[in-house]
Amino acid sequence: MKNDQVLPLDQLSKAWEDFADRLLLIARSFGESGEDAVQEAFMALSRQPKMPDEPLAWLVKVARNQVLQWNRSEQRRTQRHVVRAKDTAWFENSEQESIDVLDVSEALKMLPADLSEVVTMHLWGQLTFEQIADVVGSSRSTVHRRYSDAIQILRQRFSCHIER
Amino acid sequence: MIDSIPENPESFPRDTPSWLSQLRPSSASSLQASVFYHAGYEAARRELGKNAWQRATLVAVAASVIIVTGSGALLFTLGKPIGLGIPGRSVSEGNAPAAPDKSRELRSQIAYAASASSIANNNQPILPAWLQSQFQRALPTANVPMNLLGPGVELGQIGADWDKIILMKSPANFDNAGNTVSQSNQSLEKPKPIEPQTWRSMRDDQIKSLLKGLL
Repeated sequence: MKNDQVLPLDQLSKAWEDFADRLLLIARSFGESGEDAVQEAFMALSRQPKMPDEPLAWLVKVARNQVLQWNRSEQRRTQRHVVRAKDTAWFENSEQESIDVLDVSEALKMLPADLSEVVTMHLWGQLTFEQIADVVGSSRSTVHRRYSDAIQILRQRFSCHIER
Repeated sequence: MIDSIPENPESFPRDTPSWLSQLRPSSASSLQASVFYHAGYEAARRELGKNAWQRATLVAVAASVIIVTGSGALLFTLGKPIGLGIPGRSVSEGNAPAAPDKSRELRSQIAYAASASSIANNNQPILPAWLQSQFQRALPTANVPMNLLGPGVELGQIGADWDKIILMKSPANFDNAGNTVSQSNQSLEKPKPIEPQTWRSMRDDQIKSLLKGLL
């Protein structure tokens, strides 16, 4: 059946303005295909007849599912030719000179995936634990435990450089 | 030990280091052109009643829309979707054109859109690096100056009077002066500028109506 309903471009533009940066950061925690997943998520959003109630949570869920689908596809993996800088900073340069955003980015990449995605979703994506639990299909308490573990690891990693 | 589950994003667990929570995500602008190119194509295809991308390709009608949110500018480039591949496909898969001669046309269009959007974005190219490299390989045969794609875009080459908003009707290629070369190569047609405030003040249905009228 033909579906002529698409999201008005001004709403898509507003959603990009509001969520793209955060979604990209979160999607990077899903793996190397994070940038592609952002594009796919926004394309999916553009095909919606109206804006979802919780746009960022919706975008995150779509992007994550897309990455999971790609990861299951051997063909997809072999076709990927993503050209990216070897060291990609996930953050803008910090005003705090003692923080190297590349180091933080690298530390997040080194975290187990289930911890990295939770900490990026909550800390920088500002999704609630309830929303994250829905996205990853786990309980709220599990999500919160993962967040706490991730924070603990990051604190230990940077304890020598950062004074609280 | 974190013993509570805060739901207010402002109240992070108390042992979350402030230096960590203060970091800000880097910009996703490198993806912007690609996303809106495909979104614009998709919107136009649906609006114009094409029920399959293949059919849209055959009838040679498409529109790409790049919205540069940073400057509030809206860029429309109308043209033929020849060689577009599958709109919506991820950037890493690219849009490999099928026919070499037609692909040049596509590359010209996207290169042009890239250069124009770069201008609207303070001369910073906003296309992904991989896509730029594809263009650079294709450009010697695409009749588009390579330097339109990189930093320090030469504004004069595509006309400073075009402003940030540029509308083009079914272009084929672009010469080094930024003029469009019609498909018959019988005449040169310069893209028609539309005042930025005109675009900004237009409602979505008006834009769609204009798109229809141009085809």
